[in-house]
Amino acid sequence: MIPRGVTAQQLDPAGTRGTHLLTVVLASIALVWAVGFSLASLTTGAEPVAALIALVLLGLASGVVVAATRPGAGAFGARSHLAIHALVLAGFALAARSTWSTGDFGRDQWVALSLGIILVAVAPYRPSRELVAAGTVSALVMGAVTFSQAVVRESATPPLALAVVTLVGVLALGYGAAMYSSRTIVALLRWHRRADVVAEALADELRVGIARSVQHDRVTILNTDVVPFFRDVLGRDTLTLADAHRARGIALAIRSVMVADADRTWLEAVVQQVGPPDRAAIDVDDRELLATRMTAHQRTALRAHVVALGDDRRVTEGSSISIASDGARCVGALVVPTQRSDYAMRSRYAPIHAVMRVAFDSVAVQFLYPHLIVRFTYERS
Amino acid sequence: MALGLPPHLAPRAISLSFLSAIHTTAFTCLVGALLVSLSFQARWPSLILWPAALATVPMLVLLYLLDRARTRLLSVAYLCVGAASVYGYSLAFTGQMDIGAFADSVTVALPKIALMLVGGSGIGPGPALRWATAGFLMGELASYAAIAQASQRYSIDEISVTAYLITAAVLTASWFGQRGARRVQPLLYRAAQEELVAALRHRMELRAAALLHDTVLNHLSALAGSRPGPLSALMRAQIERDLALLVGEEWLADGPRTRERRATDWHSTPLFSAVSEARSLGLGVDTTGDTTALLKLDGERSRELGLAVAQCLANVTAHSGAEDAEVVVYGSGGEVMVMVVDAGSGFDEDEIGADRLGLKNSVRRRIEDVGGSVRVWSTPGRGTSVVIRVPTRPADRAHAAARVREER
Repeated sequence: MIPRGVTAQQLDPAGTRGTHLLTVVLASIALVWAVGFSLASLTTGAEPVAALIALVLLGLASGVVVAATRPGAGAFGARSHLAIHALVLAGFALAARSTWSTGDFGRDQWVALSLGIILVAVAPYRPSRELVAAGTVSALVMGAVTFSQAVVRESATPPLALAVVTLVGVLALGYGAAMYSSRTIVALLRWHRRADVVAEALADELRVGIARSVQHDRVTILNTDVVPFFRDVLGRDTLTLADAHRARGIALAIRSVMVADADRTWLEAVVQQVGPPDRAAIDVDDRELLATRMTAHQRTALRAHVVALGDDRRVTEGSSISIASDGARCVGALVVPTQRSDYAMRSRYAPIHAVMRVAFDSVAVQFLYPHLIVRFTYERS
Repeated sequence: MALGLPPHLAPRAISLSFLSAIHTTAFTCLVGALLVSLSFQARWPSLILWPAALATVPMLVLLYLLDRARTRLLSVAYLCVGAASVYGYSLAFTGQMDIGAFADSVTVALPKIALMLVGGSGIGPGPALRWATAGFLMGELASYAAIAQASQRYSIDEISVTAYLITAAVLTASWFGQRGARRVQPLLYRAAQEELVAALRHRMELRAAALLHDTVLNHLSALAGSRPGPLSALMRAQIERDLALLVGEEWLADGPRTRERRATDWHSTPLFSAVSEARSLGLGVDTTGDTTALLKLDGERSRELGLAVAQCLANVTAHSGAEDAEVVVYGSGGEVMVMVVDAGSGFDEDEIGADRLGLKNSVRRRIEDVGGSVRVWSTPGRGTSVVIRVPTRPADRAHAAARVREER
């Protein structure tokens, strides 16, 4: 069972980012196909203004697909998807109007196939149910219009055959796109369930060792002062004023260690662990301890970025992460000095930025030579 | 976590998704071809066009079988039977009407596209592209044979060529587009694993901090506030217990998550122990409400709730100046609510020093760690109410794993 509204882009943003090339190619094919058939229809007497506007609308739909799925655009939403259907349906109406009086009416049904190609292009970004529903509605509208036009124009081709061909242009590709979306999501969900089981087994395996390690750290601290003091007090059976002073001093020291521990975030621990030993650690400025307010997904995405920067030999010293509050939101900025070019940095870290875009509320990537700057925002969890 | 498929699983999963998609497309095309041929037959009843509809049936059957078992044998069978079907479908039209009067999409294209979308056996873009090319060529050849037999003019139809180009583009671009993702997936797994370990360690550190605060720090503070003189029996017992804990026990390791035993009556709950200990330290504690609601909690939740309430009562003793407190227990739906109320000096939570860890570690974080919540209402001079809510239903195993990740 696929949860409602889940998309492959949400489950695997890095992988979906890789399909953008395919999206661009398919949107281009849809447009080229439309241009080719529109030009052909003009030679057989189609109305040029309506045909041109229809082409512009199809171009707009293709443009929306390319722009809304580009790596820096965040998630491709239902609104963009439905806007594409609206643009293509408007284009279809105008294309039908342009060929209304031509004798070549049965040959110019290019819009349905263009929409079908566009549906394949957006398959990784939208849930299968939505692809099926929107594709079916658009196909039925196109089929009904085609059938009516064929009846009114007394087409040589059976109206039902023309309507079926129009329907098939959208449905065959639309249902194929929906199937691809569905199967990909199922595979990803199955993998996530397996990963959860492995994670749980790993957690059980590690729990005892980590507990001993943490306890050992605490006991080592306590053995130096607390244990000798307690034994001393128990051995004497009476309390003195010096004991009270000593107890206060030890309590203060332990409390300050615990406060320091509580004030050290996971992010500060991570930056200490990554990168070559001869390079200074990434500087963290997080006075309000806002790193602790991230969700697990956000922490994992940012951790992956920090680890990747640690492995990058062309990142120079002076990287920093700052997190500050802005009302209920937290605003972070990762600044990375590098010897790489803008394009090289963006393409190297694009899959991680795609993951961050899904995890955080907003992510903006900028390159101001020689710095890559990644800004991100999130609500306090 | 938004983890993509690992490199060893991705090629097969992508191939299977792709094959299912193109088989769906092929199936729709064949159904369309069947309906188109029936609509022609209905328009011209005197012609014999029904064999075109019949020609799609073996293809539909083989496509179904091929989608169930993607073997080389079935793929070859689909191509062979499909080519014969395309030939039969085309011949039914070309033998009885001038197909030049109709668009290719209406007459011959749909079964040819379905044949090209064979999918075939094998993993990856190479085999799929080879099968598609074979299907495309066999479809064109079969269609050409039928058109030639009917002495009509053959021309490549744009629809079939475009369908082939789209298939090739999808295969090539989707495969190459995954390269960047395949490079970064191991890094994401590593980050996810490290996050899991860090979350576990952090949880242990919180437990350790809460335990040390409840025991060593509280008792050191009690010693610091004591007057010179004999050590009380209670203080001796507490210090001995602390020492035993520090040097002798594994106080954090609870092994793989196991369900601790549920209390069977109110007097055996950790909360009752907390109230008893506070009373022994001189605080008057009234317990009201439905104390049997505590029996709904499993061992872990009951223990953490008891420790949190003990800390609340310790705070009343140490900081409020009140001599009495009230512990109210309610059970409703899927949660237990415990309210600790005192009429003492109260405080402003925002002004608590960073070094005051009792409410933060021993109450709030401890309760949040078992899925509960804590709210504090306090006004300087007018007392304090701490409301602790703990869910009665233990998280299932999947939620437990997710919780480990969400912790911190």
